[in-house]
Amino acid sequence: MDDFTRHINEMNDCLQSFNKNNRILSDNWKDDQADRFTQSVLTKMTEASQGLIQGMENDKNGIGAMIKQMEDMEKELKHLEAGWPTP
Amino acid sequence: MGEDINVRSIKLLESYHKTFTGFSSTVQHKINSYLAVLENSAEHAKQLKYRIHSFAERRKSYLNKAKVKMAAAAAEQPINPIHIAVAMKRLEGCKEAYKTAKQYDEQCDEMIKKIRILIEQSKQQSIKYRTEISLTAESGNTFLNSYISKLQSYSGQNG
Repeated sequence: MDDFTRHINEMNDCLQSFNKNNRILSDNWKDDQADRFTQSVLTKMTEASQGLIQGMENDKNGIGAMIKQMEDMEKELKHLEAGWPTP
Repeated sequence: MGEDINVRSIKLLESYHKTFTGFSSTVQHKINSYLAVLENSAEHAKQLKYRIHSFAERRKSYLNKAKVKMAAAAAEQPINPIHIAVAMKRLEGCKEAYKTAKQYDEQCDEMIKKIRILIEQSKQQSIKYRTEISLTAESGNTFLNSYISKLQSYSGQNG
């Protein structure tokens, strides 16, 4: 597994567990302060984490894919070189 | 009855507070570790580019040597058609190999430019999220601390 995928998986697990705890909180804390906390803190925290995960996904598909392409090119060059003439 | 609710709420919020603090600190730690991944990716891409460029440089040097050998074969007296044919074949092979290696090298040039831009953008964005998460965590902690204290003081008054 590449580093991008590992970080995406770890962040997703972390966020999933956070959301689970937020649901427990929300089921047991019901007053105007709870709404205020959810709106001003939890929503922001969740959105920032989701944005981060999305950024990591984009990096995986962009940076990670291009690096993989360069690795494949190097492998292919090594393979081709075996058949190329030497002076 | 009111007291029970307060005690339950305090326990709930204290327990949740730990989860909240743990989450924000884990995410910030993960962002730092992710920034290191980006740095490593930039270095890895640089090394790949260097090695692929070295391939192209090596093939260029082989091509030059093949050209010298071709010239030497052509200058031989008396002319030896076998030497010329061998040198010609090698020269053509070296030309083709250099052309391919150069194409790969040029493609890598384009890719590494894009990779550098994307890595820089991603670093900036990750730092932005880290700041946002840190500020939100701070505000959340203040909120929870203050609310728990308030409940504790009610609970104390009633008790």
